[in-house]
Amino acid sequence: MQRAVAAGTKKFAIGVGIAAAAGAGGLVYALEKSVYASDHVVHPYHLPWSHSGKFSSFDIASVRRGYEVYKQVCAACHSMKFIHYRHFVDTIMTEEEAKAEAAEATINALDDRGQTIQRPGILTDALPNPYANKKAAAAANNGAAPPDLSLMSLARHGGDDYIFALLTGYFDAPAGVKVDEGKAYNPYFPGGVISMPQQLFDEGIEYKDGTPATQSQQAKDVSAFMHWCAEPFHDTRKKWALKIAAFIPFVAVVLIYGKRHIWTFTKSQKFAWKPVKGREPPKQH
Amino acid sequence: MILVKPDIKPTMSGIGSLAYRFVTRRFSTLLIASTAGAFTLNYTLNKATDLYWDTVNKGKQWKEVKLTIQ
Ligand code: HEC
Repeated sequence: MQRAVAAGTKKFAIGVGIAAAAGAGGLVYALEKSVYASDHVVHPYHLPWSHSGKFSSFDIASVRRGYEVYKQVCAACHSMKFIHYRHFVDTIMTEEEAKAEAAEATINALDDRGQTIQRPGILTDALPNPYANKKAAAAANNGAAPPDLSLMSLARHGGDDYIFALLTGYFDAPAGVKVDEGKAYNPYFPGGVISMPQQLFDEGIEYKDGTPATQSQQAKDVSAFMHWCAEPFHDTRKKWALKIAAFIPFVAVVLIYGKRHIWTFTKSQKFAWKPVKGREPPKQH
Repeated sequence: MILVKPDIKPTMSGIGSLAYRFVTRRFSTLLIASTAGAFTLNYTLNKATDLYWDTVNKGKQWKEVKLTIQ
């Protein structure tokens, strides 16, 4: 009787567990697949990034090209205050390359007497900000300050897909959409009118490694570079995910064995009560 | 009331019992086995996962790109 009740409870608990897991899975799936049709913006399409797999590293050659795009195009307006030249050493550049990149940059600094000076950069400098402050940045760009790009990859819905779609998504404004002087129409930007004009053009720059610099190639590379900047630990993180995933089966064996070892006594013991003459339990009426 | 324990004869067969008789029964052997096991598992797991990582990410990593820069 008791055993049957216990078995029933167990079955019920398993049923509830399965139902809960299925519900949670279904919810996550539904949220992943929702189309957000009510948003007044065109959603970026999904692209097969070579770093989007569970165990995929960045394509460092692409990240390096992306830095060239950033330096020659984006750095005219945008800053990257969290990225310092030292971050490039032995991750995407040799030390000599990173030092040369830093030396090419003009850094606003203070001299020993507190006077503002300009000097060539060193490894410990952050990538320079083209504007003295946010007001100056906004004034130079029709009132909208170009945002810092250090963490931009993680700061927008769609991530890399969004940045790629944005950079390659400039069109003539449809009838009825008013685009002010110095602004541009881009359906991927919420609202459709952006203060950043189109930046990338076929052969707009020339890559050091000889890759043809089409617009889409530049957009792909600069997106990869921006993602690298936002997540410099990306490759290490995924490598550790792989190692931990590979280790889990071994831990599971040890834990399951340990549990069974500890429970063998409890599970295999049996109790029997024998009345002893003269010490019988009281009679029930 | 007296508690009666039916005597249960554990069946001694299979690797489980072998492991018990020669390894897990004594703490000294268990310690040696787990230390040796930790080292070998660490080594082989790292080797295997690094190999897999380098295979699926062939040509994309800094250590490979570095060689193409003169
Ligand atoms: C002429 C100056 C200028 C250049 C060059 C420029 N941008 Fe911008 N960028 C802006 C301005 C201004 C904004 C703010 C737009 C707004 O809020 O309407 C902006 C915004 C952005 C945004 C944020 C969009 C959002 O969702 O808020 C991204 C991403 C971006 N730029 C990427 C780039 C990249 C990558 C490059 C280089 C290929 C680049 N920009 C070059 C001026 C520039």
